[in-house]
Amino acid sequence: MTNVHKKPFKYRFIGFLKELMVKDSTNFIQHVYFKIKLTTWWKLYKKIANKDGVTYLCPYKGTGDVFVATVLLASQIGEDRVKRSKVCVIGEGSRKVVLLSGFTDVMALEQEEMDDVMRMGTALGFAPLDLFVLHADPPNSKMGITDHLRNYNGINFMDFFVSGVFNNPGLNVKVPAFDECKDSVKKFFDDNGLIPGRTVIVAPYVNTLGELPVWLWIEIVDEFRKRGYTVCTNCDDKHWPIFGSVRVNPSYAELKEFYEYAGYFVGSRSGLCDILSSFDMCKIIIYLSTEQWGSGEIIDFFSMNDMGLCEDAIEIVHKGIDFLTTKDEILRRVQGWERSHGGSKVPVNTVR
Amino acid sequence: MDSYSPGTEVVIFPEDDSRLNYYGLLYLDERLVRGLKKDAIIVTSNSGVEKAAGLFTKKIRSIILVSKEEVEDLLSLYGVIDTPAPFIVVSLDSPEGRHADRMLGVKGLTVEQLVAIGVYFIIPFRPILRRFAYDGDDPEVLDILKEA
Repeated sequence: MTNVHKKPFKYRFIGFLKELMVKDSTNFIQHVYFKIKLTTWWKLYKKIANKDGVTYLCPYKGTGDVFVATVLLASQIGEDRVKRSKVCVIGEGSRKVVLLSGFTDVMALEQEEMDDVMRMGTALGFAPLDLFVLHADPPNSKMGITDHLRNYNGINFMDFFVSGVFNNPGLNVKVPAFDECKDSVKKFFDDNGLIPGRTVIVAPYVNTLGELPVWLWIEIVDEFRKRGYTVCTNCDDKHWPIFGSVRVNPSYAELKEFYEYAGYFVGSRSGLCDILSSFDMCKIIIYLSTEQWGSGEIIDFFSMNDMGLCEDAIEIVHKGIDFLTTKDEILRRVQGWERSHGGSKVPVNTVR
Repeated sequence: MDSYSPGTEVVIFPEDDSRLNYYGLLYLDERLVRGLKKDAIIVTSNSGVEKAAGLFTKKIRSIILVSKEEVEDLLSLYGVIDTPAPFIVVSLDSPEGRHADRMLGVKGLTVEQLVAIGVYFIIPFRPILRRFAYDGDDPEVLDILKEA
């Protein structure tokens, strides 16, 4: 896709207008509707167009979707084109995720604007507009069928991107460059009485997939505290930190330093897990089996190890209502990780 | 021409690919059952689909043969309107932006699975094995039935 496609778009735009409006102008309401629609699209297109090449679109604001799409994109197009590319996302949070991969021209759109961009692409064509969609099946469009294939033949989340988006099954993730901020992290730990290397960060709140109940997280936090760990809850201002823990919400760029300094992560599967997949720490990821995901379960589709994001995630599936078994399993797996990483200094018996 | 009603599924066959059209017709009945639909209106630019459809299902309310340009216009309109999809499109790369053809062959995914699961959302999926008693010699019908 190059700039030569820009000119045909104008012709196509006018042609579309003639075909659909002028030819069928007997219906006045339809005529006015299309005219308003196309005027809106034209303004929107001028806003998102990239003079130096392609505009990449993240049509869904899930943190994991945006992260996986842009780390793969950076790997696919190389560093030079990363600098010249423009990426459009929904919301400021997604914008910060994209910045991790080295993109500098990142525009945050409103949900309604992105919906309109997708409709414009469906009607007029994405390639002639120099647009590339970084999603195999955008929820805000009506064009996709790929989502129905979740888990069939072992199709997972990564297959949707490497094959469904980039058509390049051999594509690997390019681990983003995180900020170095050891001093500020150390200061935060000192100020809040957190123990470096013996702090557990819990992440109980997620957007898309299911969550464990808050009372269970209170028990988990309590158990870790009894065993001599300090505990933080990774959450924004809209959520309460779990009782007995310190609220933390480091920026995406500071995540690596902060998390590796803490040493432990225990959280429900979310987009945050995709970002911290490359971190050198104890990562306990909990998947709920209460929800079907296509023909399989959530872990079948989103397993970080199976997706190739990492090999060292400790993945636990929670089933049914026996939440305390899941709690015990988390504690056992943490002990197991410690034994394989230099021995545990904490008591081994689980306490209820 | 019959008009649309909630008990009717409108299915568009915009492609000339005989394998795609074969599976689109083969799983149409199952789709109607799963979608709790009474019958289907088929819109196609392929005369083979028009001729062969009756061999696959008796639940066709009408078949509308249109030109390639009309199908393209219809699928462009698909993007303009703000309502949920009013029809099913039996295609791997149409309307614009659907790139399910990229998934073909990934972990052994076949055209049959992409049509039945992807296009028609038939989950759980069981392959349909069927023989057709066709003693005619229309090359367009035979072209579609050769996939059986």
